[in-house]
Amino acid sequence: MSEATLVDSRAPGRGQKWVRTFLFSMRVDSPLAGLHAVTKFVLVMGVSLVLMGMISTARPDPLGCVVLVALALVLLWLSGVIRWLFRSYLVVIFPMLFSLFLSWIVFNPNPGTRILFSRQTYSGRINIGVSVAMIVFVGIIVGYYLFTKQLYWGIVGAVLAALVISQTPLNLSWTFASFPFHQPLTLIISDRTVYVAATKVLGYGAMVLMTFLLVLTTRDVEVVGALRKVPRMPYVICLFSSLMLRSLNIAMIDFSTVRQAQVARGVNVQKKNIFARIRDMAYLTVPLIANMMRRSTEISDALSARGYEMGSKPAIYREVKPFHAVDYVLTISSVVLVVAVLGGGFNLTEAVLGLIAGLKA
Amino acid sequence: MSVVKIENLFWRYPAFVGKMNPWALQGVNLQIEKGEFFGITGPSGAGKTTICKSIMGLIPHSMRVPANYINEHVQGSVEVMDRLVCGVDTEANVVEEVARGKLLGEPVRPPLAGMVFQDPENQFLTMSLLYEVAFGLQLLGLARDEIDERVREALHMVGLGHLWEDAENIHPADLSGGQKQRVAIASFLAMRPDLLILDEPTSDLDPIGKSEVIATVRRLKEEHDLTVILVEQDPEILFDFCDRIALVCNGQVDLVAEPERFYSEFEFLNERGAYTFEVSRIAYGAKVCGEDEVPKSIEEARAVLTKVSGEPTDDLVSSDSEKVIEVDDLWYQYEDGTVALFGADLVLRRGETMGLLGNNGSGKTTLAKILTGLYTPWKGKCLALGEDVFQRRVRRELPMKIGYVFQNPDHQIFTRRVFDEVAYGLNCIGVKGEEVEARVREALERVDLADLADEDPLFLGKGQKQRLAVAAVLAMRPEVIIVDEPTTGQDYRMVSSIMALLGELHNAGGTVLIITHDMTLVANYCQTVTVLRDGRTVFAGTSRELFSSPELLAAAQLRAPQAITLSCELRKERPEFPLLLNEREWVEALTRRS
Repeated sequence: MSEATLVDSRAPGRGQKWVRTFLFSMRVDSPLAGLHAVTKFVLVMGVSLVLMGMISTARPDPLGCVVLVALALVLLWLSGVIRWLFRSYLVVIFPMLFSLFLSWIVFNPNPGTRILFSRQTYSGRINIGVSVAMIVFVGIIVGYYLFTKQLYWGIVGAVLAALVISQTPLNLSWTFASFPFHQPLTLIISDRTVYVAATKVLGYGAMVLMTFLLVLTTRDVEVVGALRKVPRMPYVICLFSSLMLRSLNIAMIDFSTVRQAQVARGVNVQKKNIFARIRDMAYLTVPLIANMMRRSTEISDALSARGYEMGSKPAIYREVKPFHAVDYVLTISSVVLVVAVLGGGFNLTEAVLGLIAGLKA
Repeated sequence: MSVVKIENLFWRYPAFVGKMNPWALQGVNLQIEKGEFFGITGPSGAGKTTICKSIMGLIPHSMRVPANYINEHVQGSVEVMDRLVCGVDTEANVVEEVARGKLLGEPVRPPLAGMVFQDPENQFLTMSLLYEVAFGLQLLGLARDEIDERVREALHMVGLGHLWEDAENIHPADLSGGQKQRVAIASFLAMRPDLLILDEPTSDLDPIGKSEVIATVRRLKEEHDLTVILVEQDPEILFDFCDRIALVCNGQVDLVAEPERFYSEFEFLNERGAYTFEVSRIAYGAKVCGEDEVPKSIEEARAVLTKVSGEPTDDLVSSDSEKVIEVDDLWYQYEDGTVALFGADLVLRRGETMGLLGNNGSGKTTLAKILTGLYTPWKGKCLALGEDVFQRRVRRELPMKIGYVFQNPDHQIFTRRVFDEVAYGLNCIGVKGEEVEARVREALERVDLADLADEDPLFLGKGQKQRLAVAAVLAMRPEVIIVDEPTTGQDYRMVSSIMALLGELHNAGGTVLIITHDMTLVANYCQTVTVLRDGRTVFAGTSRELFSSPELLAAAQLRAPQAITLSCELRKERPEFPLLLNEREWVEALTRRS
């Protein structure tokens, strides 16, 4: 039997370039692949704490945030995951940051020095009454639902129609009662609110990217290895967490197969409302649970066949990674950075501006 | 010296609710000698796995038998290498003046013995190839260098030596089903056991991969003086590799013999639903020999089955009937960037039964999932019933027109009643009222499950579940049915019944696409075949064309069934000899002579 006949052409082998992680895969030569799981965790936690300080409304540090966003992007790029991340999550990340930006522009208590735009949105009184826009709004939603049994586009259309009508003289209204409530609210966009909002968005963006970086470059094996190094940690907990991760992996494969089998039975052929879709999901539990039960007995047999019994304590092999010099350096620098920013009030933007002013002087 | 000695073993699986289960083992007697390659065969549910587990001591020691009912669950004894694995002191544990029995013995632990189970997915306990093979060695408490050495050696033994350098970075999801099975074997070989039990370890492998794995185990046995127990259905594998074979049927060992004598008991095996050689069935079916002289190999058959007259009627493949599926230069890429199809072609015409063949990982299932609208193709041309599968609307409605029966019936049972299961798809596509009732009844009749309409599908046997899955698709009255590996891991009776069902579908004018490794199935029921290799179509034509060319078969890494190999052998000497594809053609040709 020659080895050549056994090699599957698509199979992994010498010079494998990618390795699977919690989420997706990373390049084997990623700078984060060599780091200890603990280092990565401390690093990401540290950076997040630092960012909390940088995005404070009182002393925002946009330059610091930019530096950390850039750092995260470079590390993601070196790990080879940036394209996949943007392709899969941009749809979620972008609207999230955009809505954050809007809300920080609007709800900033400090109006700043130069007001760019101002408009009262709430007069401080609640009026009870009827208006044409309101009737149109309700009418479109109800009508659309009656005809199509769907809601989404009905609501979108109704909002648009109501907005348009409320801006025209056609929007007649009849007020039955009116009473004061809360103080008047005014939408103010000023230099200061834009500045703070931009910093917040950059800061949260960096946090999101850093968290992605952690799950995209950490392997389950590393976590189990790190657990084994915890003093007096019973082995059964390491084994349990390892098996749990593995079962989750199998369950995900099962889920996708079962879901496909359901689609093949025509579950998507008819248009359905949200409740029918939830009911469809409920049907998946029958095959999923049946498979899980079967698998759990088989996994316990497989464990016994390898010689595992309660109380076994296997020898430590390569799963426990040594803590290298670079791990110490990175861990300590994260701690230093946290202390400098949160404790010492270090602010990169102010420091750079100060430096420039000093040079000019 | 006996490595395994089972004496009058009775075993009953504990039932936690309701009445007691029937005996799963009913007086098993078995002795396996040191250094033997011992085969176990028999129909599904006969107790083959149960016997293996009781040799390991998983039964009864891991089974939670109620302490006061030992005598009702276990009788007899099991000894492995002179250690008592299972025994019962029937007089012990007296409660209310009745002796309830006490379990004796201990399970066998590695490195003494190891057992590889059927489903490689469930045996992969860790998230990396390296730790998977090392796990047992860590449990043995070996030093790091020793583990390195043994893992490397074991991977090499099973033909995965090239993975050693990256072993730590290889995730189970990176491996094919066949590779996972090899890893499962390697993880026991690394522990250097004296006894290795393999419970149908090759059911997921293509024919070539299958004999390679078994040949490796056989070679290891010779080199390391291993004792091997192999549970297997395929007579060719058992015959070629085993020293002795046992037939297990209804919880008993009915026959133990050397391969030659074992497969000479043709009637006996046939009655008990065990697989027999195709040439034996041909010779016996055409009554050209007595039971005690049935041929087993091609060599023996050549002597008996030569006097054949007449050309077999060629299969009518109407090449002008409408194309229901037309795939041209189709590419598919998975989300992670792996390209699974590199320009596949396929044309399926109305009324045709086509075999879609290819080795593990060649893209068969991927192509089928595109054709049923489950996957979105990347580029190329793909028409199903004249409509473009690249369009989202078309893909959404495909399940109504192209039915897909998944390989594992456990993945496609969504309800707790057989009737509802068949009705489920109908409700999904909007069939209502009496129409549902009528269609469900009709589909259940066709697969012979009408009597079980009120049962819970989860408690059906594997063969019944598979037929139910077919019924659920049939009821939707699709224009094409795709069946994925319908015969994998099934015993002879189940395979025969599913084959008969597919034959009926074809005769009723149905268009069927069968994804399979089973060349006997292809030779019997498929008029045309499409062969994929590494995501490309390497052959498309009639099955007769494929099987008449040994070069083509070799290039596609396929192995012809005995009936065809035999006719090819005979045609080498006598070119006028007809190319008989299957048992039916052979028997017809032979009886025509007389």
